[in-house]
Amino acid sequence: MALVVIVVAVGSAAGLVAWKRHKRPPVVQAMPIAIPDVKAEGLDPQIAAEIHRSRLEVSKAPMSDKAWGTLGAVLYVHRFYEEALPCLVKAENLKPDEPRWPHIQGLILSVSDPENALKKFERSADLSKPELVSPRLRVVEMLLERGKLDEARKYIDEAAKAEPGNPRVILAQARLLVLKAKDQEALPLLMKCAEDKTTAPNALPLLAEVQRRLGNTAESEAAATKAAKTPPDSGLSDPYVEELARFVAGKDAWLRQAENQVAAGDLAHGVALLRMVAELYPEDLGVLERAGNDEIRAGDQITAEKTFRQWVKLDSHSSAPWFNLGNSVAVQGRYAEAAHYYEFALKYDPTNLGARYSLGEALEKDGDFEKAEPVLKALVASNKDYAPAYKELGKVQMRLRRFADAAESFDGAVKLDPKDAQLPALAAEARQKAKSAASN
Amino acid sequence: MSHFATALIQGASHPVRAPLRSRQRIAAAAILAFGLASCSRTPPNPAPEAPAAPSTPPAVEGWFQDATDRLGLKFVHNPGEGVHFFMPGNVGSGLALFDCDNDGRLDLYLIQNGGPASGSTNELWHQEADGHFTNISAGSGLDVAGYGMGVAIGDVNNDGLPDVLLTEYKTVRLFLNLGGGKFREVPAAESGIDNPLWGASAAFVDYDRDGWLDLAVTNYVELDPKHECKNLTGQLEFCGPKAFPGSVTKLFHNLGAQGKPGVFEDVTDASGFGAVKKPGLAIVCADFDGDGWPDIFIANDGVANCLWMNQRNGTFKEDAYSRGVALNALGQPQANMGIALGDINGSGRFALLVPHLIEETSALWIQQQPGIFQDKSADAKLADPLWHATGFGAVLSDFRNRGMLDIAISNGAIRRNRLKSPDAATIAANGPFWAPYAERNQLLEGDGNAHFTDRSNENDGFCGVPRVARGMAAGDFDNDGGVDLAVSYIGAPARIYHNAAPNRGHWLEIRAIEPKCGGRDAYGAEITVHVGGASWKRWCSPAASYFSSNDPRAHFGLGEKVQADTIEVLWPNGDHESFPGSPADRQLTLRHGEGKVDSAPATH
Repeated sequence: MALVVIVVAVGSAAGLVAWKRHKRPPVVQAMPIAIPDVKAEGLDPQIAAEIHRSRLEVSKAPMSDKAWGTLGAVLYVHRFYEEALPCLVKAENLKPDEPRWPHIQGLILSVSDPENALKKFERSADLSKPELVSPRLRVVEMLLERGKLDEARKYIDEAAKAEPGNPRVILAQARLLVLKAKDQEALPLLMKCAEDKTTAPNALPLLAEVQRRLGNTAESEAAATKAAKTPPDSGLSDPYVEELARFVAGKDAWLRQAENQVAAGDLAHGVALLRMVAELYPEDLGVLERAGNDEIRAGDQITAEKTFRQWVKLDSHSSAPWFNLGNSVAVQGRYAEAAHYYEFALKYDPTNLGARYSLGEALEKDGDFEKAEPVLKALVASNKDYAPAYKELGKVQMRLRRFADAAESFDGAVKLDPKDAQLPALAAEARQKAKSAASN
Repeated sequence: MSHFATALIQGASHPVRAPLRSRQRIAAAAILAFGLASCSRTPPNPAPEAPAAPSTPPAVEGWFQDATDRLGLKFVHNPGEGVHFFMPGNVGSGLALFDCDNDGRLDLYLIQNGGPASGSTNELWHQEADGHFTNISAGSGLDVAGYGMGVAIGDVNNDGLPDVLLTEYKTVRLFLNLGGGKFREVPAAESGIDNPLWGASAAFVDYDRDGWLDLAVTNYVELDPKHECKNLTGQLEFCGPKAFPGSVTKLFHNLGAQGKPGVFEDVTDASGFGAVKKPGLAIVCADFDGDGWPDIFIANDGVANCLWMNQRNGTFKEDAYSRGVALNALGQPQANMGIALGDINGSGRFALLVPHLIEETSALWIQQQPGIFQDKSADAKLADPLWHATGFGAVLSDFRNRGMLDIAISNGAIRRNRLKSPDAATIAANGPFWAPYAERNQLLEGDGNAHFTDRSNENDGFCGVPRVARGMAAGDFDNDGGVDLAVSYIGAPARIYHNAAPNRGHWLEIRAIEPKCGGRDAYGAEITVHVGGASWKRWCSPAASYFSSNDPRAHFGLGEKVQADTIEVLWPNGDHESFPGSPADRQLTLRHGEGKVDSAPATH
C-alpha cells in the first residue's frame, strides 16, 4: 500500500513538474464546488486510496488547477466520468491556458457528446505547444469528418509547420485534398503514406478509391489487396493520454499492464509489477498464480517458490497450488520434494494430468524408477494420445532394464509424435538392448 | 377510410391536435378497442413484463404518430441473458413486414431474444380488415423461441406464398408458408440450410438469375460465451466485436431449377464468400455496377465492409475497397450497423446509408460514377445532426411524398451513457437495466439533392422517447400511400409509427411480381416512374435496415404530380419492360411479361 502511494505520488509529482507552462495563467475567480467523491463500497482499495489521496490534495490546495486536474484525471482513468468532468472544468477555469484539462474533458465527452468534445479538443490544440502535432491531428480528423475543411486546414498547416515530413501530417493533407475532390493532387501524398507503416492502414483504402475514380483500375485493385492485408491503425499517439497511465491504480489495471509488459518481452518489469501486486493483494489467489508463473518464466525460482507457498497456505485443499509449488521446486532440482507436492496435487484432483506426468518425471529424475513406472503407466492408460507420457515411461523402463517394454513405449510415442527426432533412436536402442538381453 | 386512419383524428386532414380531454377519451377508446380485439386470441406464452410507458404525451408528434396501443400491437421484446451482459442480448432483434396470408395487408413478425428455454416465442401479428393487429402466433408455426436475431422474407418454392427465414445465435431456421397464416419449419437436413454460427441478417436474392431465390446469411462473430468483458474498474460490460474473431457470410443456392424447390446447397466456399471472415451485421442486395446481376453488400461491425460483386458464373469478387464502400471518407473503419438504399439525388443510381456509433458519423456513400462510391456524409450534412447517437435501423423513404427521400434512424446505445443518469421517464420506458442505453430516434428531411436537415426535434412521435432501438422496418400498413415505420426495442414494447405527415403529396405504390415464379415478388427488380420530365427509381429489395425485412412494394412520392406517364421495369432476369402510366394515389401491380397494370385505389 505504502509502496503504491509512494510510486504514484513520485510519478505524479514528477509528471506534473514536467508539464511546462508556456503562458502565465490569468487570475480567475473560480466558483466553489464540492469535491466529488465516489462510493468506496466494492471499489478496489488501491483505487479508493488513489482517489482519496487526490481529494486530499484538492482540499489542501483548492485553488490549484493541478490538484483539481489530477483528481479529474484519476477519476477519469477509473471511469468515474460524471465525477471527473466538474473537476476538470474547475481546473480549466483555474488555469485556462493549460491544454491538458480541456483535452481530458474531450476524452470524456467523445463518446457521449462528440460536438462538445470537439470544442474541448480544439481548445486543447490551440493551447498546445506549436511543436506538438498529435492534438492538432486529432482535431483535424474530427473536423474533416464533419466536412469543416477550412477549420481543418488551419490545424493541418500548423502541424505541417512543426513536422512537415510526419506521415500522419501528410495523410491529413491528402485527406483534405480528397474531400475537396482534388484526387489527382492527393494521389502522390497517398502513395507516400501507403509506404509508411503508421499511415498505410488508412492511406491504402483511400488510395484504392482515388485510383479507381481516376480510372486506374489495376492500381486500385493492387492498393485494395494491400489494404485488406494491412493490420488496422494502432491509433494516434497522444502524449496527454500517455501521461494518464501513471494515474491508473488497481489490481485489474496493474495485472493488464504486467501482462502487456510480459507479452512485449519486458519480463523484468512485468514480474516486478506482479510482485508489487502480490504484496498489495496477499490473499488474491489469481494474483499469486500469475506472479509465481511469471517469476518462473523470469528464472526467479526462489521467489516463485515463496509465492506458491503463500498460495498453498491460503488454498491448501486445491490441486493447482500444490502442482505449481511442485513445479517451482522441481526446476530447482529438488525432485523428491517436488514429487511429494505433486502427490498432494493428485490427492485433491486425481484428474490433474499435468501433476501425474510431472510426478512420474520427478520420480524418474530422483532415481525412484520402481515408483515412477506405475504412475506413468496409469497416465498412458488414461491418456492414450499423450506422446510425452509414452516417452517418459520408455525412459523409466530403460532404467529398469525392461528393454522390450521400453521399445514398445517408445514405438507408441513415435506413432503419436513422428516429429520428435529423439524417439526413433531411443526405440532402436531399446530394441537392440532387448535383443542383446534375450540372446544372453 | 380504414379504421387505422379513422382513429387517427390528428391525421393528414386534421393537423391540429385535439384538446387534452378529447385525447384522453380517444386513448380510453383505443384501450377498450384493443381489449376487445385481444379477447379472441391469447398469446401462446406470457410476455415478459413490459416497462410502463411514460405518462407524458409527446409535445410535437410531427410526421409520425405512435399508433402501437391503438392498433392493438402488444409485443414486448425479451432480451434474455442480455441483462447478464450476454452479447446477443445487446445486439437485439429485428422484425418483418409482410403479407403472410396474401390478403393485401401487411402483417408483422417480431423476433424474441430470450433464448430457447425462455418461453418467449416470436410473434406473428395479423392485420385485420379494420387495421387492428391480432396475435395469431399460437399454432402458426412461427411461434418459436431462441436467441432470435434477424428475419428475411422470400418465396423459396415459387408457390406465391412468402416464406420466412429466421436467424438466431447459433442457427438459422426456414419456415415454409402453408397459407392461411400457417407455417412449417423445414429441418436443416431437408432444406440444406445449415448455419451453426451466430446468424445476423439474411436476404433472399436470385444471384444466378435462374428464377429461384437463393439465400445469403451474414454471421457476426465467433462468440466465446465464457469470455467476460470488463472495464478498467472490473465492472462487467458488453463485449464488442473486436473481442472475438469475425464470421463468414454464407451463401446457399436454391436447387429449384434442378427440380428441388426450396432445397438449398451451401455454396459459401465455391462462390468465394468463404474466404473472408468478418463481423457481418446487415445486408442489402442490388445491382451495384449496372451489369444486370445482383451484388451483395455486407455492413461489418468495426472493420471494412464487404461488397461482393457478382461475376455472373456463380462466383463473387470482394471489391469494397476499390469501389469506395469499405471505409469512411477518411479511410477509417467504423461500426457499421444497418443499411438503407435509395436514390437521394434523382440520379437514377442508389446511395447507401449506414448508421454508426455515437462517436462516429453516419456514412452516406453516393454513387457518382456507376459502381463507384464515395462517402459524402459531411456534404450531405449528416455529420452534424441535432444530437449524436448509435444508429441501428436505417430507412431511406419519401415520408411526405414529395419525390425526395428522407431518412429515419432507430437509435440505441451499446454502452451505458458515461455522463448522464437516465431520468425517471426513461427508466419507466426501458426498465432500469436498459435505460442507460436509451437514445432518441432521428428523422432527417431530404432535399432531393443529397442534403438532409435534421427534423428530429419536430417529430416527437418518432423521436421523442429515448429507447434502445435495434430492428426497424418500413411499409405502408394501411395502404394510404404514407410509409409507416415499425421498430423493435430491446426489453421494451415494439412500436408502430403511423405516417401522419400533413400535406403529403401524391404517390404510387408498385408491386412487381413474377407470374412464372408462382406470382412471387420480383426481388431485384428496378422500377422507374416517369412523370413529365422527371423520373424516380426504386429497388425491390426488402431485406435491408437492421435484421429486418421491409414492405416489398416500391413506394414513389410524386409531389404535386397526379399522373404517371410510363413505368419501366428492369426485371431480375435482365428483361426491360415498359408499362402504361397511371393516375396517382394507387396501388399498382406489374406482372412480368404481361405488360399490364392492375390498379387499386388507396384504402385511405
